[in-house]
Amino acid sequence: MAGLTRPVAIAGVGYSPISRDGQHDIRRLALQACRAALDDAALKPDDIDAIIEYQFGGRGDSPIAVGVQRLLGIKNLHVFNDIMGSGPSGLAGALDAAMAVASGACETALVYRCITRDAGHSGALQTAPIPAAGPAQFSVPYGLGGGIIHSIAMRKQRRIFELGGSNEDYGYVALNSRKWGARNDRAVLRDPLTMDDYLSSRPVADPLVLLDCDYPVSGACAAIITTAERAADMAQPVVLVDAIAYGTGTNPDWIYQDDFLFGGTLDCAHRLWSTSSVSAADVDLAELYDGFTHITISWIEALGFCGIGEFGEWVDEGRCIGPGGSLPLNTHGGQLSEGRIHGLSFVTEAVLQLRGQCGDRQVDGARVGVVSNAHGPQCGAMVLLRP
Amino acid sequence: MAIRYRSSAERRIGGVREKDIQEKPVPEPDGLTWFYWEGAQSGQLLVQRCESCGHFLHPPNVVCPRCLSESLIPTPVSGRGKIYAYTVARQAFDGAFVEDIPYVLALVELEEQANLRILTNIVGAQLDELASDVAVEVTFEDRRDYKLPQFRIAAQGA
Repeated sequence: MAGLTRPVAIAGVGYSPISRDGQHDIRRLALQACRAALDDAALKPDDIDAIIEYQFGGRGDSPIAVGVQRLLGIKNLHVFNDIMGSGPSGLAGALDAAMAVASGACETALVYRCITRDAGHSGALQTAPIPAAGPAQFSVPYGLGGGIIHSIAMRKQRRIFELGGSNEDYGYVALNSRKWGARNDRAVLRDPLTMDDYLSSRPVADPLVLLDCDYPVSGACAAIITTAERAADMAQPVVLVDAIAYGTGTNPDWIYQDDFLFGGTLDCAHRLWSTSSVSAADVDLAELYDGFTHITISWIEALGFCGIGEFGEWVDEGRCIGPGGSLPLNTHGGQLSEGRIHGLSFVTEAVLQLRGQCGDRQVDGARVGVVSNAHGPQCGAMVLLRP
Repeated sequence: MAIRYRSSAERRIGGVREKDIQEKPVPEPDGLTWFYWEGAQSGQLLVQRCESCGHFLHPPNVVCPRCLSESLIPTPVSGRGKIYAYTVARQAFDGAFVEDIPYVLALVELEEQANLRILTNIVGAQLDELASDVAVEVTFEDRRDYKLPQFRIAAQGA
């Protein structure tokens, strides 16, 4: 508990419906998720004294924190913050909330990630001219596009060159998501995949294929973060935040970062385990970001579940990360299967697992979960414990 | 019934209406980067170098991250390097590049310094020639009022 000055817990989680299509009012999505989290913890809006949210910024994907305060009729907040897209994805809100609660600046924080398919669909074709000013003058004239898609494709190429392994290693991450997603009613892509499906999926940017990429959806999820002391009096079994960490790596940047393959994941993982009361060997389940399969593999190795470059051998054709495996991974199907409600959904799933509320996909006796988000210059991670 | 031809505005290339295909973008230089594009105009690849400690940095910035000197001098470099990482773009995200598919994006590590990388296209290469560590050299592509530094597979013995 070295990283937090008073014990912090996650006392409620909730989701809006997750949709593949249609137009959605972001206020309604955020409201549905936040209301569900309040109900889950059996709290009323005025029990909340902090709201923190993460969004891309400028893409209309999420209402701001005080917008949700207004929706819920909360009279005042002791902490509020809108974290823009350079943080560790949706986990950023939960990390900030854990710090705010630990510091005593607030008592009970509501965090959410709300996203629409339109805002999150970075693979869409842009037909309007894309400005090539600022940092973009060194990338847009060369046809770099699709958010971080090309930069992730180059990481996959470089990893196979430098550390060995094969396309199939990446495929096992994609196949795993559907194995778990088939057991998750929220998941939007639930059909099983074969390795042939993966290897023959549409090339996006060699060696990156479509099934390396997560699936844009519209939806929201939310969590309530409070002191462990207060959580003990609330409706759900207590899930403690044991450790939190950020990591950037040297020369942090999605394109020019010194450690191109791992970004900040190694720094983040080192910091996480140095402040946690447990170690990688104690982890019962891992909810590791899978915006792209490369990211998940980086986290597995950075967190020390296997050595650097050893993922392909370690994953044992997917057996060790699947149902019944030694390290159940992305038990909700991750963003590859459940859909990209962007990062915070790894926290909410870990909480449900550690409470033992996951039905068909429940990992028996799970007490220690690790969550990580993002890659490159904006990494974050959290260890959660069922005491 | 008379045969009706689609107007040219309705013709599609790579799924994009032809009239929607933009001209390829040119850089929009600013006070900090003006030297880079002007150097390219005269066929030189210029990279900022710290006057105090000799560190190279790209893209251009306002301070040397190694010694915090703000005296950064545009310096000609050899234009030689090797492919650090690359990808073959199979899907266009920018309508201006629809007709270029497949094209090659790469990070080239310049020979002057470890981790000194430039994002570029690899032009004129067969796809089976591409690999990390393959030697490349700078060339310049005319694009309207600008010249873009680009890289090609290095001539043998270069």
